[in-house]
Amino acid sequence: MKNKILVFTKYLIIILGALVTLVPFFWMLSTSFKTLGEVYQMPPSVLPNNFNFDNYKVVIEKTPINTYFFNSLLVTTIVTLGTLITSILAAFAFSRVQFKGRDIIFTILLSTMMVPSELLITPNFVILSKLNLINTLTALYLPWISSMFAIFLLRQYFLGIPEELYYAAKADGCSDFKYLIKVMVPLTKPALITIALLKIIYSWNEFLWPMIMVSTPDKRTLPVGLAYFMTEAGPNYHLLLAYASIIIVPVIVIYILLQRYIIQGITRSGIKG
Amino acid sequence: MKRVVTIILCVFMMVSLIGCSNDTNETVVGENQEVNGEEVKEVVELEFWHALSGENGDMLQKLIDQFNDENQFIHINAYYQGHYRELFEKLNGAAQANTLPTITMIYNNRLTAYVMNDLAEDLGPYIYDSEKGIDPKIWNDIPLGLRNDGMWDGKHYSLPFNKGSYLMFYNVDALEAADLKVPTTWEELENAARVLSKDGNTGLVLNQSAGIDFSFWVEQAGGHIYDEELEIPTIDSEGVKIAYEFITGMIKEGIAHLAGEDNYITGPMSRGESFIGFASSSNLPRMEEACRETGVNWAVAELVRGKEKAALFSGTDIAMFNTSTQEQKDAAWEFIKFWYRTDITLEWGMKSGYIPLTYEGANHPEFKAYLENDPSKIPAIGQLSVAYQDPNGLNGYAIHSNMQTALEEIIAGVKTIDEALQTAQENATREMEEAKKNFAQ
Amino acid sequence: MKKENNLKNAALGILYLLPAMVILGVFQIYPIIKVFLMSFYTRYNYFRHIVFEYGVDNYIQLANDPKFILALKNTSIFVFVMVPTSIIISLFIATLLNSNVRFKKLFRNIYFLPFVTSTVAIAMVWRWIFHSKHGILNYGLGFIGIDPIPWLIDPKWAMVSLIILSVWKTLGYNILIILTGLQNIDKQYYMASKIDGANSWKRLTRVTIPLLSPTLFFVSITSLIGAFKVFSEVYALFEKRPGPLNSCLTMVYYIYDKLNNQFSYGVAAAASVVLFIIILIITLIQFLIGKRFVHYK
Repeated sequence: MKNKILVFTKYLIIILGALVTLVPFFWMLSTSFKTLGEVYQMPPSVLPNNFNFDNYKVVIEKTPINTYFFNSLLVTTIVTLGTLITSILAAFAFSRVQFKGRDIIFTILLSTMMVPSELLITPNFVILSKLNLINTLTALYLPWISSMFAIFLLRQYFLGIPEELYYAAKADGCSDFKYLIKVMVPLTKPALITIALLKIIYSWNEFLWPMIMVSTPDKRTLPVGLAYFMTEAGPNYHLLLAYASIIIVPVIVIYILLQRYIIQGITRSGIKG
Repeated sequence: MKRVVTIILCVFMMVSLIGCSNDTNETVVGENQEVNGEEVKEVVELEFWHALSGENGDMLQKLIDQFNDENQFIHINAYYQGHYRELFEKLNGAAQANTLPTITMIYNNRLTAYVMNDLAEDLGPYIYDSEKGIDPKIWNDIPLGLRNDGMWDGKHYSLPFNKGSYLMFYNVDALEAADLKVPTTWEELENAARVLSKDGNTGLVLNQSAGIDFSFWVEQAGGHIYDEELEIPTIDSEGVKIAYEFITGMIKEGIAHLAGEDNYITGPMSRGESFIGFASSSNLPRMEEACRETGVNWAVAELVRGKEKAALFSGTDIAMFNTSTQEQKDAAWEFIKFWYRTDITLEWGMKSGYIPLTYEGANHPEFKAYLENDPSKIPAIGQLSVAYQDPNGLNGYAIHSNMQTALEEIIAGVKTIDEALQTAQENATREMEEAKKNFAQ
Repeated sequence: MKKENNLKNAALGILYLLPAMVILGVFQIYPIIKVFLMSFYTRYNYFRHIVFEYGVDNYIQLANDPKFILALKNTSIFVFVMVPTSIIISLFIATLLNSNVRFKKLFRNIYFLPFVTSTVAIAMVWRWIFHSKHGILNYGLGFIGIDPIPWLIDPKWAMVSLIILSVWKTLGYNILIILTGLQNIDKQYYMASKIDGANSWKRLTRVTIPLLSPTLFFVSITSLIGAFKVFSEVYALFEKRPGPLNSCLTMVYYIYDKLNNQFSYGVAAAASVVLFIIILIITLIQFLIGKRFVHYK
């Protein structure tokens, strides 16, 4: 009996939590089908009076969404792959290579997480100008192909891999690099996928950076399109939310595809603590 | 051995990462064009940064295309750089990196920094030049309140580009039902607000950020928020106090309110919760769309008058940076002149959300005919003679921001009007002084 | 011999670090150093990079600015309420999701959704939810007899609203990281504790949390850093303003305001340095605590 109550409360909590999480999304979707007049109606209608795709049509016509999409895809892919490569190498050094000054470097790099990114936009604009990279796609990915956040996360997982494994491999004549690629990387696949996922999300949603670093529509990315639906008199809610609903779809799909690897990961590989 | 391979691999990765950066960068190359097979003249390319999107942006691009077509040897690349916030941030970066565009849209209180640092081009030599100058007839036809706002030390550094004004929005049916005529003075406004406040509705609504755009009430009270001579804010002066007493008095009485979480008057007005509201003409399209569905019958009128009649005009100016070549600057000047040509300003006035920039454009029969279909621009035109714009002092934003805080404090009852205005005056003065230190000469 | 080894290791280590260091160095550390220097410029020209006078004026300015003090206070409240709330809820939900639950996958996907969306768009939706007259939240509260709450209008509730939005937004991320960490825990430990007859609370405190400590350590550090930098939520939720009566004026809002509205680059830089030092100190404390309580296998 007691067990049943426990199970019941468990489900109740999970379901309630899920509902709370979903309400804003439901609202976003519902609003994206409304007209502006209906948006202003109070009390608001829960479902749109007329279910049609007019807002979506307008949004697709008004923005070069295809170009934006391919730019976003390219930038996000490079950023994600770049981050994975640089983080794997760096996290290895921070967890397995012992040398003087390592912790100092780690702390210095960690400090990059403590400065608000808003502050770094203008200095980076100047740097990218000097490198002649303003208004190129390179400006959108190059500064982001390394992330201390990712290095830090990966280091935590690398530290969790028993050192005995390393010495055993060494004794077998395995090089550091080979050990890293053949042993550590496969063992931390869930963490790597988590990093990839987080990086994809950040990169996909970044608004201010591409807005400032690039001038021409042919090099802009998806979130920049949001600006088209904001006016001096407030946002065009219905259009903006339609656009926002479109652009999250790819990320949700990627998440659903990737998340099962996160969860499977280590349980399968069967290493012991 | 394996270590060597590792090292090589790492280096290779590095190189490939850096190597990615060698994208082809778009450089502006002037094309040579031959005219009649003899004269070789170069096409001057220049950049124009703006913050207009949607229909206004489309219209601007159309007029720029027309300009490019008419001027064989000039090509203007107009770039939408996001909203004012992003545009100004980008200009800041560009100023440091020395990559400013030739012309830009800009608020005058933002341009001040560039004028102080000798980055803005004095337009005087262009305006009054006997050859390339602007036709004096057109020049004198630009409303003074708009034209002379872009002046620093008696020199023109910017000229009006996209302009609208603050307006009074009202619910036609509600006023008729209460047997009220459209208010034209403060007293009438207060009375109307009182009569209309019933059944849980509040007669008058202001944007949540009413304190930011508060200056028109002050000007109407006969005061100013800034002393242009002494370059100091005058938030604790008599006129400001009268204006705050008027507005916060109505709010405390419960016959006026700020839009709160709706932020803009559109929400309460379109739902019929409030019947008179004040906002800039940029609210017109939303009001139109929102009320079409809720069935509220609305109209706009000129701002009411207090001791004085005064109308705040908003929108940006166009300014030129002196970092471009003389050819580019000359070409940009051609565009500025083009902007005030009657047919152009007329089209701009009819097809964008803004008004024509010359009296000839505003009084043109075509524009009159347009106003009959869409009367929403009539009050803005009617107010042109009493037009003024907000002060240009460096960090003028500090004045507005602190006035907003003061308004919130008074309404919340945290401070009295005198206390709140005094604090605002102190903070604004300090913050404006603070800004100057960043542009020492 | 040993010295040589150390040198060799250092060279090797640096080599592995090089790609990350170059990128971070150029685009993060170099600008940060510039910001640090700028905080000591008292008279200079921002556009032309000419410095006429160095000093600590900007810091004195900050100490005397009631708005900055308010920003410090608001940010602290936000961080110390938001972060623990978010971590506790996400730990709770993550362990539930990690246990035997049907439709596990579906729930996991749902909880992650908020993290995927753009803040700008979703903050707009929350403005409706929080609407005092017509919002769904007050509507729901009305059912259980609670009077309408002026969420976004009242200075006290405005901060609560900001915290709710932020918890909601970060939950998915925290759950994801914690779930990833939970996968790392060997099932054998659970088996062992079950055999020992430990109840679920004991299992959580004796097995899960200690073994999860590297992950929790990571989550708490990154959440704290993220929370100290809260800005876009404020900006979007209150339509570019810092909330009623500056009640949600946070440190980064202050910095942003000085930087982009007020031309006060020096003061903005100084405020960033202060923020940086605060975060650094708290992170170092966390590392010290972490040394004692975090168990790497």
